[in-house]
Amino acid sequence: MKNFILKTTNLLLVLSVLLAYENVAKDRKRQVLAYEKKVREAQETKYKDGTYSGAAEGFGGEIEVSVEVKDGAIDTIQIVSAENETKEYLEEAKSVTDTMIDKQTTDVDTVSGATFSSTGIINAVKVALNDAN
Amino acid sequence: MNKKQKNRLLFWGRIAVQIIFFVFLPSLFSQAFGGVKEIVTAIGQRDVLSMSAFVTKLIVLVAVTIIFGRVFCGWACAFGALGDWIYAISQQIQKKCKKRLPGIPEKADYILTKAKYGVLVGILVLCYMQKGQLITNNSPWTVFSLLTARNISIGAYGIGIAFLLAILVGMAFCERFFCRFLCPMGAVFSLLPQLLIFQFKRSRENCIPNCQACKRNCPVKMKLQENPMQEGECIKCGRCVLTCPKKNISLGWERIKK
Repeated sequence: MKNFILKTTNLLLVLSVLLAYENVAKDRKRQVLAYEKKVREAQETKYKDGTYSGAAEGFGGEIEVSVEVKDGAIDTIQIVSAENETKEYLEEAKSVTDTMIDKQTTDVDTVSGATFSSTGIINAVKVALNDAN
Repeated sequence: MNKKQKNRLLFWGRIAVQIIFFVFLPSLFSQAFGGVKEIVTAIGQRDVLSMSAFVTKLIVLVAVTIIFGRVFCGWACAFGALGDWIYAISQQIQKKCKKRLPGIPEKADYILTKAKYGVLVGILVLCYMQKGQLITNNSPWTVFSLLTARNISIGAYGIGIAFLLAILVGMAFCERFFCRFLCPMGAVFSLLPQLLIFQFKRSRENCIPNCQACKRNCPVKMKLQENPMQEGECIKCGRCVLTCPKKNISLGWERIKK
């Protein structure tokens, strides 16, 4: 009889451990699947549609941009204001907006010779797109 | 049906059932243990447990064992049956040649019965470490399963073949050699609780002094001291029931009926 009780207790212990493990494993799997889904979605549609504005420090002062997102992609980038930017530098730096639209990312090189202005424009777009994520 | 007829039915019935399982379900024991390996492997990967075909068979055999005891081992396991038949043939040959193979001393025998738990733990550890394939590639059971599936392409399983041959030799020397000393599935079964109703019970009051016929005939060399015979080693072969000159041993529920 004692043997029977011992073995039954042992079996119940093993079963409860397995059950507890299964619950934890199921939870973990659910989390992993949800995370993977999020990653997939993030890669498919990087940005939410809409018009966003952002501003950042350029060469002479603040540069404000307006970014339009259409169909999940960056459609247009307009420089709304760049009051204190030196005209020549600004003109040079503007090409960075084309690059950003081409590459669909703010991870682009600055224009050499107009580093500060282009950095300002890039950062301003980054700020704007923060709302689009 | 009188007692003698019952006993004959028990004796031949068991052999018939063993043959049927050997022909139709010769890998059942290996598959059920495969379920154990799958569970441990999944845990080692922190993966979810799933009810695969193997795990289902494992659960069925575990349930059967909890209710009836190790009837699977005694009546259905093809590997156990193989051992029974090899030993029987070996006994016949020994009789004819009037030579007896050496036996294993009692103390060593007892220690060896604990070895199967070591085998079980070893295999489980390897599975947990995701090395389960290593076991399958070198297991004598893999070779046996291939052969009983009438598949002779066992060329890649040299180590498994060597193990199997060694086991066959052991089976000729010692009854239920593999089952008692090495079987990891048997180790699992022996740790399960068994319902007392279906256990063999012995009425020791009626024993002939110094008889020990049941003990001498038991294929798994049980001490037969506990009542009911709850020991995890009992494979429910029923030989003790058949052997007892006073018919002292019977199924638990028969005692309740009395």
